[in-house]
Amino acid sequence: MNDKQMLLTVEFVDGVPMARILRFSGDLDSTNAEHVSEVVLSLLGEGVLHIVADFTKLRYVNSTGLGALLFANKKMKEAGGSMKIAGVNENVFEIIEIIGANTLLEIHRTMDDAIATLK
Amino acid sequence: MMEPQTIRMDISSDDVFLPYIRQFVSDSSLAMGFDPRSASLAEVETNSLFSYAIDVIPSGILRLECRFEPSLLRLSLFDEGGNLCGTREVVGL
Amino acid sequence: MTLPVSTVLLEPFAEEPTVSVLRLYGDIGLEAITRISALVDDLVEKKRFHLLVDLSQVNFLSSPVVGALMGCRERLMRRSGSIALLAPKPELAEKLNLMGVNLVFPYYSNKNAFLRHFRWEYQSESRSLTLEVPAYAGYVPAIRRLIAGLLLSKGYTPREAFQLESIVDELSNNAIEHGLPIDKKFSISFSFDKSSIHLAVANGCKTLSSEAQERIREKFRNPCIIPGSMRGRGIALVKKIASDMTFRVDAQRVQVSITKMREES
Repeated sequence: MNDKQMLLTVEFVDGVPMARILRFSGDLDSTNAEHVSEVVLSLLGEGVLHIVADFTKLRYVNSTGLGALLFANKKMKEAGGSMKIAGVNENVFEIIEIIGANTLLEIHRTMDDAIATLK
Repeated sequence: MMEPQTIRMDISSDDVFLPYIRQFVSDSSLAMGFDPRSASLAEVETNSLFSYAIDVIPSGILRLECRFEPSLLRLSLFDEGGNLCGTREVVGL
Repeated sequence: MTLPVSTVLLEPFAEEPTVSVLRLYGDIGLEAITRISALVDDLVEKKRFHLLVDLSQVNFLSSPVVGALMGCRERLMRRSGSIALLAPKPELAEKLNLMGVNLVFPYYSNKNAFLRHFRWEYQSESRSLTLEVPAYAGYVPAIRRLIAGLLLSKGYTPREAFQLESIVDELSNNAIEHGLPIDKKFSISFSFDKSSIHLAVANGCKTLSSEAQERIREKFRNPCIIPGSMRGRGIALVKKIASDMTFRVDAQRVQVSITKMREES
């Protein structure tokens, strides 16, 4: 099993060409956080400005994983874009809160809510 | 290929732990580059080693050694006194 | 010895003096109810509140007897006692399950399984895990999932297991990344019972100067989360989740220990 390949898929957003959905599944941790940063930088290089991160199937995140998300968030904002996160489970949200990242990340309850802010 | 590595685990003998011990060996095998089929075999062999031991050693500590060599996993189970309870080998691809 | 068709015997449990064993033999019907109730009354009077009902030699158990056992259960549990069923034959177990008995009484296939559960539940027996692992980040997910699984298997909630998973992950990665494990290994000692968890992660390292040791101690004493920064969050997270965190930094070894008390039993 290759954790990096299993973790992340990229999809288009209907009607918003400069946005992508990043669907996460499994665990985001020190073994694959760098891959997330690489994917985001690659998307930025393609001209993508908005990312909607689907956490519905994300079971676990550690501080390194959150670091990658904060990095991605910072890079999207620097480029004049945005990053939104949706479908965060209770346990993951608690970790995000404890670290204080909830004040820095744009978190929505559902993917529909997050995508609606793009249109 | 990484150099040979050994994981040593001392764990309380408790049958409810068995699914998680098996999963640990499988996960570790994958982390060492074993293919999913070999990792699954490693899980089966771990189950075989432990099931018998937990029945005859209902309390106390069991020690599992997982030695990863190039394309091979050697599993060895010992009781608290250091007596060998069993060994298994799994070829990794 | 050939026993009468329906026999009810009460014996002490050799391996566990605080438990009594109610041995039933053959077909257990209405006629056994009075005897069973009397035996349990006697136990309660003698302040013996834990009962194991041995069904291994039972062919048939009537519904009124099941009802009587439910009544016994109530009496024992009111006094913080317990009642469990031992080794019902498959056909009997199937019938009992149809009656919903398995939803009320725990079953154990053998006395060792019962003892493990009993001592955990009523005698605060603990469980432990020690790992000596190569300092390779790829193993950390396996380690944290193992520890979370052990906790779940003994009745900890998913949230509690998740929090420990976070602690294990952060301390292990810290040992691997920052600990300069000299022998390329690190160790985890983990023990827990019904009410508390203890975890220690340690690694050897190249000889640290006094200044280096103090820098590490300061990092543990005052971990800081810098908003927007990608670094330095792991130890702060551990400190916030754990009930208590201590550390020991020597010239050639670093160990971080935590205790996590359960919020409610």
